[in-house]
Amino acid sequence: MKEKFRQSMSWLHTWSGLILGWLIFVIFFTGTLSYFRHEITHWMQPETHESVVRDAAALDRAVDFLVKNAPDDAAGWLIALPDERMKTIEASWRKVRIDPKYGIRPEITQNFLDASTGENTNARKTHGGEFLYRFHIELYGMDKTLGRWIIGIATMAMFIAIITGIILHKRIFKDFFTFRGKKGVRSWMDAHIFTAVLALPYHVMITYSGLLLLMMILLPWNTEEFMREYNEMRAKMLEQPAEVISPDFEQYPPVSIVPLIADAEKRLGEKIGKIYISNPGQRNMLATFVPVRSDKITYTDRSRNADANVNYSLRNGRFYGEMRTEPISKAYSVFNALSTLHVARFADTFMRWLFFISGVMGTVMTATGLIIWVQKKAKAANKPFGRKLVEVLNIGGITGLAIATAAYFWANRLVPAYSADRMSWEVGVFFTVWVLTFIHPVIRDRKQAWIDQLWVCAGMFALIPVINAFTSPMNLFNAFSAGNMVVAGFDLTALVTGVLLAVTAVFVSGKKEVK
Amino acid sequence: MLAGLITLALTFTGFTLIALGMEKHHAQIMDKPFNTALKPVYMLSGWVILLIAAVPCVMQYKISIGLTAWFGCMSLSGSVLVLMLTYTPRKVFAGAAGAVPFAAALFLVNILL
Amino acid sequence: MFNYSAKAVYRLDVATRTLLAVFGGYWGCAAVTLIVTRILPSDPKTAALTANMLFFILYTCVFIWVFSVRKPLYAWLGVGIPSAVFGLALLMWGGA
Repeated sequence: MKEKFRQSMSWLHTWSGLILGWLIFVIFFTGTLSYFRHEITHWMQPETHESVVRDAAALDRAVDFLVKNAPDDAAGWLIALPDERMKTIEASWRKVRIDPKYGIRPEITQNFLDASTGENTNARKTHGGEFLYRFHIELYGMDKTLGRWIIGIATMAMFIAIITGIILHKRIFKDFFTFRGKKGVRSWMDAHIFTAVLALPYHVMITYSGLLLLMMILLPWNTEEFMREYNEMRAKMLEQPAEVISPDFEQYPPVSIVPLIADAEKRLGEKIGKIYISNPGQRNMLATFVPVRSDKITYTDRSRNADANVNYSLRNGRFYGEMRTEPISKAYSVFNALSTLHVARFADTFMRWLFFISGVMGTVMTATGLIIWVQKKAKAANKPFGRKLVEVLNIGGITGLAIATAAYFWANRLVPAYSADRMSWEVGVFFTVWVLTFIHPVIRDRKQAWIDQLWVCAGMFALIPVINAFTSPMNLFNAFSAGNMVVAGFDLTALVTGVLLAVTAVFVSGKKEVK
Repeated sequence: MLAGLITLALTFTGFTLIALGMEKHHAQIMDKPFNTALKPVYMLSGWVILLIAAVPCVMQYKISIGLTAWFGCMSLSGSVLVLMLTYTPRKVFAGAAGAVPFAAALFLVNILL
Repeated sequence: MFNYSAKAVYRLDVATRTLLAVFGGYWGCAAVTLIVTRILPSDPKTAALTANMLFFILYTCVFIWVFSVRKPLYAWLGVGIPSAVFGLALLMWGGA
């Protein structure tokens, strides 16, 4: 009976993992990169690479920039201060648009200013890391709700695969140090198990919290309570369109924000990361100062990732008080803790890398899982067509996605910086290359296709520092000396990825295929 | 950052001790034959060091984020150990032994600065 | 894995169990979740959140149940009875 139970769990583990396995891999891959989405965006705008913080007064010039450039009907401004992730000052404005389908939609225009001069860097238009992040949560080129449903279903399958995997691998603490190289299927199994077990808390957390983050989509029949406030607000806004009051900066010039930042930091005891300005150019112009990050994971205001902020009048600099979010129920603490862990906004550089590495382990876990199926189950089932199909999907899904991502980075530098539709070109290159990586293994011998694609991928990643050196004022070496660790880190990571892929290619070429 | 490195070093040592408590891995790491009597000693000290390794991160990041960092460090150092056991098993012992004074030195630096 | 000789029977079994787990499980868990939302003494938003967090765990358990019991009948009863009971309770409670 017990053996029967294990068998059925094995069956469920295999199929819930396989059926949407490629999608799960894509979600893990793009999600892992999303930990660095701001860094990726920064790298993809070489115009901003030379921005270094030298002069705090540049922040006031960000306000001047908004006074001069923001449209009269902007509902609010945002100034994001440079930090270890973004080297520029972001000065953005938000318009409110009423969309018949989605309700209130903010329309945000971002500008990236040089952190030492406050000049607009006129950075090239790119989706940057945002593209990978959006792909992670709602795919691309389809209705957002549909995309999130698909992602949600894949996440549910993943969750079932993880739980059954735990039941299946009952000797969790027995052999999690075991990895036998060069043993065919056995090696893939070991790699699958050790990446799964050593990062198990991460895998459970990331999958379950992913489900919770999509709860409003997946469980639409129990969301009235969450939507009530929003719907009331939306109804109000729809029936009385916001009155646009033109700003008058002559009469109400904003005061300097530099001393206000110092004061806010003193009051909160934390570094300020963002400043939200509402009612610009009006009598009641208000600035809300929000800390960079919180020191706990149960804070209440997830959108602003801090549980306290301070407000000042930007007309005369008067302190308007400190806002602390209300204490919350236990259930909400759990929910906040999980969703906060998922998006990891609290993470500093060190923690961010830990999350990234756990994400890589998840990515390797899904990839090895898919490979094991081809090598073991399909062989046992003796279904040549099914095996071929899965293997083609594996090659295009695993190495193909990595190649497409590298191609996306290349396109970012090779498409002219100021051509009109460069953003759709970048995304177009990504998808075109990805489709090609599925066609290639159909034509070529499949073991050879793996090796080909691994080498292509290795080359494309390893050459990223080179292409960066030619198309940006920063290269791997002077980025270090200039202190731009974001660009240096990106280049170095790409180089290391390339080398690791080359090692994998050598490893795979040397191996006899299990037929 | 420093606290994170201390935790990384200590979790590596902890995992290595646990591995030494398993006959299969003991043979990979050491030349000496496996002494069954020492098994509980290895296991216990390994787990204790793993638990102690949480302290620097908790001190640095407060309890909730600190424990998260601790889990992350375990995933990383555990993976390093797995790969070392496969490709350079003879360096594991030196690494684990060296990790302790390394962590202690970092701890001192952390206090003095 | 399941003890059937004919391939077709096996396939039919897998297909029906999958449909049962995916749709029946979803429906049943939804009914349970809605009941839990109403029963919990906390404010409606917290209650709904707690129930929703429970949903995903419950749904996973349904899959494990449906695919691990030997006889298809048990799978159907295990999902069907709670679904019917909670669904009926929901109906009597004044609609979903």
